[in-house]
Order: sequence, then structure tokens, then C-alpha cells
Amino acid sequence: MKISTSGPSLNASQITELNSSTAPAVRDEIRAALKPEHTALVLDLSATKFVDSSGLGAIIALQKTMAPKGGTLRILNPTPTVMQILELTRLHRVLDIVRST
Amino acid sequence: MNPAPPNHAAPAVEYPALLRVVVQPSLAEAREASRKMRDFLAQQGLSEDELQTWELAGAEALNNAVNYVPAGRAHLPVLLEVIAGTGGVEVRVTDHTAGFDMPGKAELPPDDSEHGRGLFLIQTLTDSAEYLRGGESNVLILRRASPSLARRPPHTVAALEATLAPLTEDLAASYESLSAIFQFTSELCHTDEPLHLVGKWMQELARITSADWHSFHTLDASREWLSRVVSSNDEAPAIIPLDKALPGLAVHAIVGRQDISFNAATKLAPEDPLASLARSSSGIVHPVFIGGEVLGIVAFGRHVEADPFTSGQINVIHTFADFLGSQVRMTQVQREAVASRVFHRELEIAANIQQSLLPRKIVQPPGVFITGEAQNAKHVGGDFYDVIHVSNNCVMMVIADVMGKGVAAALFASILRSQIRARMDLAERPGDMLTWLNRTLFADLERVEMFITTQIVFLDVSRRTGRVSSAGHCPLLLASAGGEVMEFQADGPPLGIVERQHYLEQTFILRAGARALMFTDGVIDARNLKGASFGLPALREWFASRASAAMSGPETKRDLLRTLDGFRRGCPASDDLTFLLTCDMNLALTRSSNATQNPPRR
Repeated sequence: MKISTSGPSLNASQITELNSSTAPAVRDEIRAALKPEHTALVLDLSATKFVDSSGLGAIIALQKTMAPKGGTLRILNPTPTVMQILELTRLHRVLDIVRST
Repeated sequence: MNPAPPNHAAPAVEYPALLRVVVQPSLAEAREASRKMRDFLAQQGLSEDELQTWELAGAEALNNAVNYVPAGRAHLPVLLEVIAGTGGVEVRVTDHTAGFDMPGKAELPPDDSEHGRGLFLIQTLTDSAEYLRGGESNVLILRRASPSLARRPPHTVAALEATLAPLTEDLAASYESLSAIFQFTSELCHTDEPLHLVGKWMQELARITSADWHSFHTLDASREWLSRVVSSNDEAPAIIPLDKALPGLAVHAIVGRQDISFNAATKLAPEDPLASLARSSSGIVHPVFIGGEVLGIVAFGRHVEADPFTSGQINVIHTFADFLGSQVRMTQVQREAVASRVFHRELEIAANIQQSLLPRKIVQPPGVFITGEAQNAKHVGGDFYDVIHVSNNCVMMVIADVMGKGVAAALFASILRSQIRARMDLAERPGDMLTWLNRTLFADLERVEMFITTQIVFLDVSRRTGRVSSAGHCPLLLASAGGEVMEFQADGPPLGIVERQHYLEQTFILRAGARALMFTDGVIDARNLKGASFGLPALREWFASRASAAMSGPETKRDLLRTLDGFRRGCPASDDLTFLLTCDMNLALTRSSNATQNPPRR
């Protein structure tokens, strides 16, 4: 995973999997990188090939981390596999999903 | 990845493929197991969408089995079983948790919940999800129909029989091959000519594999060509050159160290030695290697209208040909061992003959000390020396080197010695003796293309004179007490070269303290590890220094041997080393000469 800052946004990318054995560590690493000035968190899931319910839990947890300070979580370019599970669990309705070309 | 259609009946599973994975209870191991399941199902032909579905459903099932196991059972592994049949896929996960009640329909948790989506995913992704609770373990059974598996040809009994038929054929052929090998081994133990069996058993192999023709070639000792051992067909070449510039089936097989298959469509080079055999055929050329070394090739073919060899028949050819090759190699090794034993026995005989030719006790004329040395190199040759009593004050000294090694050379040395002793009336005239020996032995030597270098010295200590004649032998060295060395060169070619050769002789006069050295080329050709030879100049120098130092006869002999050993420095002798040393103990040797064509060189 790669974490970078772009202005008020913290960007996490190159996440290959969000499964039960990796998702807690990803969640904690991103939380540790978040600074008070970060008002947006971008999860770039363009390289993510597998997400299970634990991975979904980690995404929800990060959203809940941003919410109290008025920040946002944005899911960027999820792969079709990830998009399918987001839709299956109806989380696509509550997550800010952005697809760019 | 799509949810299963509702109300879909659980599929029956027929002729399933099974994956069974024992999963250590950790989340990382659980994830790895779900990857294995995906790979297994991919091998069964499931679509990418189906694979994603099962990977997720399996991961969720395994996560639950790991996450909820109580501490006291955390050491117990989870069992994952995946069954794929025409009806679909069934996955069973056996856990050691306390178990739970499977809801009829799991609901999604609130959107902000971080947990509680696993069962929903499992039920949504599969056609049926049953959870069977037991005392020690529980089993979650997931089923889902698979369109991909349904499209796959059914595993009917007929289809299975069709699959089994070639396997059965291969097994039968393998059995025949094994049986033939046992029979071959048995016959091999009862024959003195195992190579004769090779042809018979190549025919047997051709019968087992239904081949129309076959050939077996082995690598020649020169390693430059293959020689035909057996062939079913006269068109098989007697030899196949191993010339990479002329590539063909055999060269390709040996250089590439692999089978070369051919059929009617194969373009064979016109110069390929196997072209005439392989044309209009299908078959293989199999290189036979024993211990990494190429032994040869076997080639089997069928007429083009017949079916090509099956993989089972190819395997039989491999097995039997390699076995046959090992037997041929073993036979070669045995023959080489016998030949080696015969060779060494011959060397022993030759060494015995050579030793028997040497005088047990050297005749010592008054005032003169004569000593000799004969050392055999690895291969016994035909060196010998002799000192023959002529009268109270006269001896005849002979040194000879028969060209060649072994018993033949030793026998000619023996004949030469006998002939000399038979004509002691010629002892005082060494030139006449050599002339007579040459005429007597010429026919025999010419017949076997051998020759003998010989040097004869007649020494008369009462008259203080000596006469020397040499047939192509190394020069006689004569050193004065002051260290002046003279060479008496050969008076003609070796015995056996020119039939009517007349050998002259040279005369010298004895002076006090002088010494003479007769020797074979093993002395001056002694080599060191750098390949340099001792040489005549060094021998002359050594001889001069020892003569001027008045070194005693026995010490001079020992010193020469030490000098040569020191020069060789461990390099083994490549030729016999023989010399005859004569030391005058109170008289001087001075040289005078009669008319001679080869005056001595200073």
C-alpha cells in the first residue's frame, strides 16, 4: 500500500487485497497517517482484486473515522470485482464512489 | 459474481472432482485456502465470475470457522472440501466452533456496521447453505449450480471407459515391457554372447509397440560415428557420421539429448542417413544415454498409413531401449575389463621374458667393472642388454631395443639374444655379427613390421682395444679420465630395415680410467613434467663430469639413476630405461679407428 498527501487529502493506493488477514492492518496504517488537516481520505481501489466482509468493515471504519471531523471518504476507481461486492452489500449507496477515466 | 437465483434446487453431484485442504486456524491460512479453492475450480473450467463468487463465499466461510473458534480449540485445523461435478459445486467447511443457528435468510446489518455481512454474502452467493452442528465439529455445506460445469461433457460411463482405454493399453504395454525386461535379463544370464540377444529383443520391442521397422546404432570408440548393431531393414545405414555439419534425425537426437519425432510431413534432409528409413513413416529416434554419456540411438517407425505411436508405446520404447542400452554398456565394460586383464597378463609375461634375458651375473674381465640397469616403463618393451664371456680377457656386450611393446617385442628380444649366442664365432667382429643378424631376422621382422636397434661392443682388455658396431642404436659414449667424451654413431639402420645392409665397425683403444656408456633412448628421452627431454648433450655433460671426478663404477650407476630421477621430478617414465656402463679401473682408453664411414664426433 502507498500513502501520500495531496493538499488536504490523504490518498491510499496500491492496495491489492482487503481481506480478513490484511484489512485491520490497512485500516490502522491509514488511521495513523491521517493528520488533523486531512479533510478528505481517498481510497484508490483500482488495484484491489479481492475484498471480503472484513475489508468492507475496514472501509466503513475509515468512513466513521473521517465523519466526526467533517471529513469525507472517497472510493476511487474500484475494480469490477470490488464494485460488485459493494453493490451486493448495498454499500454503494452510502459510499462516495468516484470513477475516473 | 452474481447472487444465486432464488429457489434453485441444490444440484446433485456426479463423478466429482475433489479438493481437500487442511487449514491451520489462522486468517492468513484461511485466505490461502480460498485461493487454492479458486485454482482448483479454475482447473474444472468454471468461469471467472463463478470463480470470484466461490472465492468470496469460501473466504467468508473459512473466516467464520477461524474467527469464532474458542481458545481451547484454536489448535484444531479447519477442513475445506470442494467437490465439483456436472451438477455444480459443493463446498464443505468443517469447523470446531461452538456453532450457531443458521438463519433462514440473513439480513444486512446497518450501513455503518463494520461487521455482520459474512452470512449475508454466503447465502446470497450460493444456492443453498446448510449448517450442520455436531458435538465436536460443525459442517457448513454450500452448494451452487455451475453453468460452466453443466456445459462440460458429462462424465458418463462410456466417456470414462474411453478415457480408461488408452490408460489400460499403456498399462498393458508397460506390463509387456516389464515382462520382456525380466525375460531378457534371465536369458542374459545364460549366454556368453549377450549382444546376440539385442537383435532378438529389438524385434520383441517392435512387436510390443507394433512398430514396422527398427534400428539400433551405438557410438563408435572414436565417437565420430554411430555403428549399426541391429536393424529390421536393409535401408538402415551401417554407419551414421556424427557430423554437426550434416544434421539429421540421429545428430539432432544426440546433440539435443531428446527424442526426435517424425512423420510423413517431416522434411528430411537428403543427406540424412536415416532418410531412406524414416521416409513415409511416423516414429521416433530416441537417444540412449548411460550415466550422462551417449551410448547410441534406437529408431522405431510405422508405415505412414498406420496410427502414430501412442504415448504409452513411446514410454515403452524409452524404458526398454534405456534398459537395453544399459545391458549393452555393461557388456562393453565387461569386455573391456577382460581385455584389460588380458593386456596386463601379457605385460606380466613380457616383463618375465625381459627379465629372463638379462644376465644374472655380469662377467667381469680383469681390470674392468661392468654394470647394467634395465627399468621397465608402464608398458614393457623390448629393451635388453647382455654381457657374454668370450675368453679370459674378452667379453661381448650387447644392448638392443626392439620396436614395439608387449609380448611380441619381448619375444624378438629373446630371439635376438639366442641368435647372438648361437654365433659367438662372430663375437670379435661386431659389424659382421650385425650383418648376419639382420639377414637372419629380416624376413620375420618385415612380416610384422618391426625393427630392432642394436649396439655390440667387443672388448679385449689384454690388447686394450674395443670394437663397436651399431644398427640404428643410440651412440656409444666413451669418456676419458680427463672428462673428454666421444660419440660413436650408428653404422647403419636398425635390423629389419634394409635386407642386405653391411654393418661396419669402429675400434677404440683402452686408457686408464676411461669409461663407456651404452644406452637405449629411454635414457635421453626421459621427460619432466614440462615435457622437456633429458637429451644427449646433458648426458654427455654428466658423463664427462663423472669421468673426470673418477667416480667409481657402482657410484656412477647410482648417480645416473639419481640424475634422471631428479630431472623427471615425479614424471612417470614413458619408455624403458636401459644402460650398460663399463669402467676401466687401471688402464686408459684411447681411441684409434680403422676405416669407418661414421667417424666419432667430438
